[in-house]
Amino acid sequence: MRALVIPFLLGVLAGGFVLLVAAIALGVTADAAGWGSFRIGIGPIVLVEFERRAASTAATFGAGLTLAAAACGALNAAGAAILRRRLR
Amino acid sequence: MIELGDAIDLAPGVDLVGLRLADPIRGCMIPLNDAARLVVSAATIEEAASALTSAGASDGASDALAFCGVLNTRGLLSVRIPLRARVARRARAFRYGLVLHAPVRRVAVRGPSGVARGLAVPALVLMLALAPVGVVAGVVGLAAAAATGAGIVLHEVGHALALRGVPYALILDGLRPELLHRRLGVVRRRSVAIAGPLLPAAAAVALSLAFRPVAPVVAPLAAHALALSVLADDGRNACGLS
Repeated sequence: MRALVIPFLLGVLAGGFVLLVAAIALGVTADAAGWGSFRIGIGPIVLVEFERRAASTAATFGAGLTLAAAACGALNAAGAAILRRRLR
Repeated sequence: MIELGDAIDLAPGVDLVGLRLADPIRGCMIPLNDAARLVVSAATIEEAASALTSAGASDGASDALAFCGVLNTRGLLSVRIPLRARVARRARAFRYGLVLHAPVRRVAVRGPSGVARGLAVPALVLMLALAPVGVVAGVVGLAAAAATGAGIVLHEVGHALALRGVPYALILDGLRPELLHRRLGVVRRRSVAIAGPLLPAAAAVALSLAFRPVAPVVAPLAAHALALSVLADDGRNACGLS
């Protein structure tokens, strides 16, 4: 069990850190570069939503970030399981 | 890149004790046979080749070059090549489309600050290599190039902080640094492996949350978190896959 939990948690941490900073950087860049409103996500699951209003801008990070981080964790755990099997 | 005329020397901290190489960082004594002792006692690879030939080797030069290469890769032997010769060899090889790697360098360091000092030059070289990209991308790009250089320093400092109480040496394989240390227990090995990528990545998250406009600049630091995955050595070590 530990052999899967640790890679999963490390994958969540890795994916979470990278996605969070990337999402903030995207919001800052969109604001500075004068981009119009946009939304990144799949269906109802939102990763980042950038909204340009008349006098302000807003960047929203959706639950998609958490789900994407969890997906990174699952991928890492799968990768670790494959590597472990090859090492045997 | 190693050639016969190059000077050789035991790496800092490594000593020849009788018929064994003592490596206090690895915490082990490495037994040597007669041929190996001839090589590590020589001042140049050429001298080692002559000693091997005198001892009956059919191709002492090639044996000496190969053995010195292996010892250098393992951080046990320093190969000193003058800068001018190094540049000339690189240029000569580059004409044939080959990129030569400089010999591995083992640096004796004391504490995380020593690691940071030892990495100052490689970090600076990396920053300068990325500077042209930065110039195209403007001030933010230049600052991101600087953050990329700082990232490799923070990464190794993270490992060094987790190695408190354990002797270690800095190994520089071109621009790729790593810390050499003795084999550790499972939990300690895991924490050392995680600490390296975690320090720059956590710094990036903290800075991005505290001062949002710096997020594009510190993004290269966040990328170190990817080393926590099984795609990188640190991640594999943390998962007990090495």
